[in-house]
Parts: sequence; C-alpha cells; structure tokens
Amino acid sequence: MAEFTQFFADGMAYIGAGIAVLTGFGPGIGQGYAAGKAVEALGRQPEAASKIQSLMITGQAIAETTGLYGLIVAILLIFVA
Amino acid sequence: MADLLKEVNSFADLSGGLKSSIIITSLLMIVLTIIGLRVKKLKTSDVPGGITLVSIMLVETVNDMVSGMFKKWKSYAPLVLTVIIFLLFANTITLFGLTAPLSNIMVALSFSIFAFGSIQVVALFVHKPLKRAKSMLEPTPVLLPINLIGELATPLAMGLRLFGNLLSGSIIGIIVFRGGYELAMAVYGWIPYTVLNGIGFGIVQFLGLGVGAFIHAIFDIFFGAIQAYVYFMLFSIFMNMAVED
Repeated sequence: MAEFTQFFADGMAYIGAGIAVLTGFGPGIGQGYAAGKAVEALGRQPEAASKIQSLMITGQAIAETTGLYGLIVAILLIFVA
Repeated sequence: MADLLKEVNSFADLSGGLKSSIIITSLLMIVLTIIGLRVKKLKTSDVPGGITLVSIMLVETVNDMVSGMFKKWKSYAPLVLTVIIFLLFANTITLFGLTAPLSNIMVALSFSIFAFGSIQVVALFVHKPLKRAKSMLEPTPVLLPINLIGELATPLAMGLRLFGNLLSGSIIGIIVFRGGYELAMAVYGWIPYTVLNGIGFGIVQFLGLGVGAFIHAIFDIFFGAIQAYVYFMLFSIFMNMAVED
C-alpha cells in the first residue's frame, strides 16, 4: 500500500484541479449576461457606445475574478502541491 | 572585474519574469527620457511626428480618461500613465521572445502592493488620518474587520487577476507549441519513407507554428491590452472611491 501513496496523492491533486476549474461556469454566465445587457443598452442608446463598451469590459473583468481564482488554485494543485 | 561577474551572474540567476521586467523597466526609462527631451524641445509652432506624436496622443487619451474621474486630475495622471505604459509593454513583450513579467507571481503581487500603497497614501494625504480612520467605521463600528479586509482584498484581486490572465496565456502557448512539435514527431515516426517523413514533419510543424501565431495574437495582444486597460480602470476607480467620498 505504501508505494501507492504518492501516486494516489498526485491523482487526487489532478482531480482537485479539474474540480477547481469548474468555477469557469460562474464567470461564463456572468460575462454573457453583462454582454447581453450591454447589447440591449446599445440598442436603446447607440450614441453612448464607447461608454457602454468600457463599462462592460470593466464589469466583465471584475466578474472574471472568481474564475481566475479557480484557475490559480488548479495551477497550484498541478505544479506546486 | 570579479564584482562585475558576480552581478552578471546574479542577474542570470533570476527567473524569466523578473529578468524581462528589469529589461522592460530599463528600456522604458531610456526611451521615455529621450521622448521627453524631444517633446521639451518642441516649439508651439512645430508639428510633431513619428513616436513623439504617438506618445503625445497617448498622454492626451489618458488625461481625458483621468480628468473625467478626479477633480484634481493633474496629480493623478502621471501615476496612472506610468502604470498603463509598463503594463502595455509588459503584457505584449512575449512577442519578442521574453517571458511575460506578470506571469511571475512576484511581479504580480508587487503590482498589488503598489496599488495598495498608492491608494492608502493618497487617501491619507487627501483626507487627514483621523477622517480616514473614521471612514473605516463607516456604517457601524461592527463592520470594521470587513472594511479592513475589503481594503486589502481589492489590490490583491487586481494583482492576481493580472497573474491569472498572463499565466494562462503563457501556459496555453506552451501547450500549443509543444503539442505541435510532439504531433510533428509522431508524424515523422508514422511515415516509413525517408524523405516523405521529413516533409510531413515540416508541414505539421509549420501548421503548429501558425496556430501558435494565432494564440499570440489573442492572448498577448488582445488579452494583454484588455488587462492593462482593466488594471488602469480599477486602479483609478478605487483611488477615486478612496479620495472622493
């Protein structure tokens, strides 16, 4: 049993990395929602295009943060742990 | 001579991200000093051209964006411009074969520390320390720990966002280039004829490099520029919130 311990730990770290990357669902939904709302606002007020665009990019980048945390945790699990 | 060798060795021992960040910093110092001297020599009747014109337009764009946020924008614009110039060059430097500096967590966290320190120092200068301390107790004193964590968490998130984006870009680049090479080697072993296997290797390797060029265009230029812009936006927004509440 003892010789399988390292192998088992590595496998569990990879499974954990796979689970951690599932955080990508949240930012995907959030960014899509933000983009959809931006398109709606653009349809309603086309002259405010540049303002809407910069607000949308900022909001999407903030929404992306949780996904990036998942990515960082996954990378730490693969390369460090 | 021995001291010089020791210094060269200590530079060579650094990791790739730190090395390229030092290279970018020194290059930008030299180039921006030259541009500044050229701008200073301009008369009001002269028409600027070339790199002088580009840098003047960049400064004017940043001035426009910053002046919409702050009342006394002239003291904040140089700080913000410095950050955005460094980030623009640092995120696209992989096109020249250097490692992206922000894919090293040390550089990314130093950006967090930079954002945290500059926001706190500016807030302490604008509001006096007593008022700043009182604003931490703002809705109720019970929320003090949450306010303190919030002050720490936003700069940390800014640095980690840069780190995550640049690191994912470089990892995907490595996967694509390495995968193209491995695929080409597999094709080389799969074709049994002498010259044909070399030709197959060349074709697959060439296709892999083409996909890699596409990856560079997306992850280095597009995401790099977007991340520089986002860092700039968040930096000015949080500074604005700390200064003008």
